Amino acid sequence: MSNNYHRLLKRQLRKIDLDDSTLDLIAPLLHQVDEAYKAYDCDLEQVENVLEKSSQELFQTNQQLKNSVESISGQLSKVAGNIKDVIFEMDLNGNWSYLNPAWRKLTGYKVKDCLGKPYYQFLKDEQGNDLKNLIDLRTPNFKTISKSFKSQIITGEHKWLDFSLKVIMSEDGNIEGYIGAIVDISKIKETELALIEAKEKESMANKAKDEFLTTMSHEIRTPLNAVIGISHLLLLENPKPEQLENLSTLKHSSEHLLCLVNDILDFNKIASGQLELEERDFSLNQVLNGLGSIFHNTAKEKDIRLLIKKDTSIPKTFIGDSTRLSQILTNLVSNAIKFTEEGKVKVDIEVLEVKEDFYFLEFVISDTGIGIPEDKKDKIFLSFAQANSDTTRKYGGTGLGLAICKRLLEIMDSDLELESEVGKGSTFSFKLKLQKSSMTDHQEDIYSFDAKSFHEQDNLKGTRILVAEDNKVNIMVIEKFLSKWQVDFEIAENGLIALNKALENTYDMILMDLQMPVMNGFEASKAIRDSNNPLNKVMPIYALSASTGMDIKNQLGEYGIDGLICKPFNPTELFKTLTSILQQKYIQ
Amino acid sequence: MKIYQHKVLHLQDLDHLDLKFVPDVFFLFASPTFIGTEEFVSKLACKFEGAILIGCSTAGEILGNEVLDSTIALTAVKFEKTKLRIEEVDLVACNLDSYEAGKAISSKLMGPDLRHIFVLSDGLIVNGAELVKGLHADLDKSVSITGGLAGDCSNFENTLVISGNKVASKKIVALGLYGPELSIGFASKGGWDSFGIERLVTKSTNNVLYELDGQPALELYKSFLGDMAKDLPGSGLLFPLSMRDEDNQIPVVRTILSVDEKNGSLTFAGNIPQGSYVRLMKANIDRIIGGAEQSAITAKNSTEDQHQLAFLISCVGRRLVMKQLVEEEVEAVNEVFGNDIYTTGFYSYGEIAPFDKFSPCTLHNQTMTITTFSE
Repeated sequence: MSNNYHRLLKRQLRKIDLDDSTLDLIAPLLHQVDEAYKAYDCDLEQVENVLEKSSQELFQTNQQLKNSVESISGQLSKVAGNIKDVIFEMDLNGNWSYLNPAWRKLTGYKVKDCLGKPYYQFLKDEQGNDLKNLIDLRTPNFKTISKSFKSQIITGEHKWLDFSLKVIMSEDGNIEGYIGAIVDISKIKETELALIEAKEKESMANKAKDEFLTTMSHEIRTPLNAVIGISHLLLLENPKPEQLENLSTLKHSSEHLLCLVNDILDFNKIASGQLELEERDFSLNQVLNGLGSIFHNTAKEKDIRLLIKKDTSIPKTFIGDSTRLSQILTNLVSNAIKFTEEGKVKVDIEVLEVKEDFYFLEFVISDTGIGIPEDKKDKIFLSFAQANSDTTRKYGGTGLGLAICKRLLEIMDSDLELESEVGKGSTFSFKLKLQKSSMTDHQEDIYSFDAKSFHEQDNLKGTRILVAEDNKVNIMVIEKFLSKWQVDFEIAENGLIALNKALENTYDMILMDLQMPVMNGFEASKAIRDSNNPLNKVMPIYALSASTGMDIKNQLGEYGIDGLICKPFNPTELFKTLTSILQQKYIQ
Repeated sequence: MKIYQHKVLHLQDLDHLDLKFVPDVFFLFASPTFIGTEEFVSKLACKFEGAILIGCSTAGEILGNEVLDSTIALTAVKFEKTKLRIEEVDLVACNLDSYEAGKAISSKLMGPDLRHIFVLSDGLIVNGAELVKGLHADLDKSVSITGGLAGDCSNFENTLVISGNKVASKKIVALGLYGPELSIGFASKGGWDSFGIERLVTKSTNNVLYELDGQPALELYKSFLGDMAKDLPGSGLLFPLSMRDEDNQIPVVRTILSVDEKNGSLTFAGNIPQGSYVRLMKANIDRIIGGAEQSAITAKNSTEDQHQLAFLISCVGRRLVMKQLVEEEVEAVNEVFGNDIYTTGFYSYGEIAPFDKFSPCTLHNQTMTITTFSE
């Protein structure tokens, strides 16, 4: 038996105790067995070595991983510990599973006392009740939640909290838990509330200011009425040459003051959004004729040509707010004449587009005046602004006109455009969409019947007019004019007197102040219309009022009042209006 | 297809070949310890003029169910319709550029009805992975490639290739098979297990590995070999690496060819690209045999035709692991194919084949790679 055999083989052979001849016989087999035993030992040793090496490596790798996990979680907890806001994790049942130290600062609860307990035990509403409805844990069909609420904390104090939460999804799409943050927004909220309060105060102050301006302007208009009226009267009463200049100045100054007050009233109305546009048939011709007659003399005095042109295809009537259109045109033309020393002012109206039920018109007002410098073009549309500070001194004006025009056009869905070159002139233009009117040209002719044609032949001589007016000064002014025009008039100091007079007598017309003691103009008018006298049903009743608002205009119809004559009035205009009203009455 | 097989034990066996047909080709897998291989080859070529001789040196010859040493496993085949062509390339003439050598071979073999290339290469100076890439480069995707790298027992000194009447080292020889009648099956499976942590290749050049995770690769490798480190590179066959990179999403096995003590590097039978991941592997005899069986099943299922001839190219590393049990894997394969098939092949220094019919061909180590032909 070979001594070099594997230990196990030798032991086995010894136990079996074979004789030498048998051993010789099976020697090749024994050799193979020995070889296999040794090889297996060798393999085993190898495998053990591999196992040992691998274990060592795995141990080291594991150690490295542990170290890096520790260092990362150390970093994370440092970060989380130093953040001012609360960071949390929550399990599926709404129990806190992590809270950073900011939690204690915010709520006063110790973190370790809260972990594992439901969030609503610690997050309370304003009254200190559990905020159980903050998260719908039973049907969590949300990915994130973000809510702000006022919360009572442990000390009973209140804090505004911004609570945000995000769902943590596992790889297979199941909800594993929630992560989120709570931020103390008390300071921001306080600031926000303070801002809201300040804003409210400011808007109240603004409202008060607007109201004051409106009231003041209105109050100013009444005495102004007298000043203008009387200055007109004085001028008509053949003043001495040395008085003439003073009276002219008085007249111009009072008119300027009126213009200013009107502008302020308008501007306030627009700014406060109170301005409503009228939708009524009107004659564009009449608007343009009015424009011509207003500025005819002024232009002539300055030796400037005033040209008003329009496309022949433009119909005579439209539906819209003629008052505001006139106001815009008047403003622009007045400016153009004001700033033009020589040459011409031209108003040109062109059709841009005709649709089934509306016209698209362009109004162009150009002058050959001083022009507006490039850098001032934006400024002139601002309220109370003029191109140069000495403009006011030289040319007068409030600086509100263009701002009003611009705002009015904006309300009409349009815009005021400007092209200008210093020394050559300015061109203002705007485009308007005007609805077609169903009024026939014949009706229009009646409507626009020009009082001027009557001026020569007919006058108001002998016309019977009842004037209801309570203000002594106004009464004096109107008395003076009406006497001058030889009108057979009567004065009623209040609505009731007016009513009684109307019941007793027959008048060609009643001019009715609206605000009067005892019975106001509305009621008086309605009573007159309701009276038995059939003439009183058709007799023109016109309101005389300093109020120009749409609300008043709309009310007039309800009380049977035919129209409004604004106070203070220009005597010439009043004359024209009165004759025109009476003329229409006769036609009808 | 007509097939004749003979286990050549002596040079004189040449006179005892009992061939009943005129063969198209002789497949010869010769042990380096067989005495007179060159003489046998040249005489055989003389005797069967017109027949193609192709083969290589081995680390064990496979014939039927046997694994042999010191023999030549001879298989003579006459194809009924399939046409054959043999081409060879000298690696030295290609400046040892395995990629170019591969390209040269496929361009020589290219033809309209080329179906398959069976390639045998020098097993030591070739870079098998580059060779496969080169073979593939210009080739139609429908042409399959299988084959192996020659062995020399497990000495890693000199491998030979048989081409025509010559036996030489540093050569690559390839057989092109043409014609639509040929049915080809193939598969490659190992059965080795990876273990331990995955390591990043931090320094390598082609098939030379210098560093893993920034550590010298040889040092690490030796520490796992333990006492067997002194038997390198032979003992390295027991310790292949599994490697995955962008080209090989399914990890491939890489075996050591040589070590360089001076610069602490390891040279592998295929490329180990920098940035790839490797794991050490270990063998379990049962699982290796199971791997061979699995390979046979895959090859068998890759075509519906009755398989007639199978080439088993198995890795020398498997032989070293299985030792006395080595024939178990050959028997396992033959059991899958049944009795009507002729099998031959050899233990190699590298196997060339796709994993299965859905993968591209690559170089393997430590696998049982099977190629079957039928008409």
